[in-house]
Amino acid sequence: MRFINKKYQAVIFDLFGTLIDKISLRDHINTLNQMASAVSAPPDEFIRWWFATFDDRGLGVFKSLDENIDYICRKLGLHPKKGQVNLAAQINIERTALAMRPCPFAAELLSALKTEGYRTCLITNCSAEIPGLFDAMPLAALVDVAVFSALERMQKPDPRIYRLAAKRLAVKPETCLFIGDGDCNELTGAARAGMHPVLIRNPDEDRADVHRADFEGDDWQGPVIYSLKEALNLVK
Amino acid sequence: MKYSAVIFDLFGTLVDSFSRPEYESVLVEMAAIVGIPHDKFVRLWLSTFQERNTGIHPTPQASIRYICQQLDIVAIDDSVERAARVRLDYTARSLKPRPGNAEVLTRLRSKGYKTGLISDCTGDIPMVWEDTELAPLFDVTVFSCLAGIRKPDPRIYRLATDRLAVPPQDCLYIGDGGSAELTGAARVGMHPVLLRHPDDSVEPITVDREEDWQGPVISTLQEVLTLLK
Repeated sequence: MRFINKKYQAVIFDLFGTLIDKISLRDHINTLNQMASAVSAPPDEFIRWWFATFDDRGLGVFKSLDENIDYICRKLGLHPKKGQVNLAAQINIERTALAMRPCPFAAELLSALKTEGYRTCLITNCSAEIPGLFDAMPLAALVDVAVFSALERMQKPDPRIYRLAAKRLAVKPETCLFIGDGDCNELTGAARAGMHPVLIRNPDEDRADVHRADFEGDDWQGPVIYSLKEALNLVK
Repeated sequence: MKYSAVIFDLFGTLVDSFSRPEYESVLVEMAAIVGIPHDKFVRLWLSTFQERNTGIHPTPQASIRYICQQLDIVAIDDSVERAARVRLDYTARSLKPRPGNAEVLTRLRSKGYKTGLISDCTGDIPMVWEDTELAPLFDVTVFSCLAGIRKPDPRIYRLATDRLAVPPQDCLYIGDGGSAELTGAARVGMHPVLLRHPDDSVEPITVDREEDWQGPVISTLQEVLTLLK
């Protein structure tokens, strides 16, 4: 293990689109249609409300997907049975679980970083069911600290969520490399908290098939990598 | 221990498969409630098997509404709900474990084995599952209608093993061979065993059954306990 002359103490990753695959927008819409059907809701209306409650999910306003679905149904004047609401929630959870596959080289990179003495971390803007799904992934054992927005009730790019991660890692933000695919202005947020942000761009991404919010990758002027393989060079 | 988990199929393995006459008489009753000629209702219901098993029609209500739509019949909310209730009650009745099966699961867990369920099934199964005698006996359940994929898709098996946090190689898979499930289990590295139950001769509802299975065979679930030794 090398502990001297290291530029960084920790490497912090975004989750979706960085350590694990981005969820396909087509698959996601398909899932939402089936969820709407489960609660007998008009699909278009249901989907509109689903996206309208995006930040509420990320901020942990809903303690569960059931609560989120219930809220949407009330807005639509529907009164589905509890079993139907739960079915819709379970459909979402299972599809998400299937879609959460590690990106190529993610496990190797995290292992290598740990071997080299770096602390590993992730910060993700996500809803309340993601922590449980992530913990079931073999990847979870390779991440020292995982910060989920819905549990902390704050989202990237709020500088507090980055500082919270640094605190849990017991390192200073200035010693953290942050790698993300650039949604939710996460790179700017990392820089604002004193970290060193790097954009990861997936050259094979089908841009018509990803849902992005506050994407800053197109005019990002800072460092860029094109695969997780390159991340090891950044810490050397 | 040779294995650390045992994964089961549901219909034809832990519970009896739906018997065709009973299954169809339920459909006939549902058709009468929504006012649709029963032959048309049954035909459309049976032709949407894939939609029900992969969540496109996640509830009985969705299937009934679809059938009404196909036949240009106005679906009345109250009738749809009542017809769906008939099907849900039938499903709940059908999820009774065969005699001795619950005990096998209990024994396995007391010996330290994890238990999993992977079922190709319709949305009414997870809707009533929590109220069954079987539910508390499983560490993990995977239902095709929720996952949107069916056996023998390798991903459906991995969903179970990821959650159990065991490698597929450490799993025994027990099924009656519907949906080519044994081949699928073997392909991901599990150890599949065919359960050929003596009661299965009477026209059960199964699809893609592995009639030419050459691997290990048992005829009661109790034999699983000897396989583990």
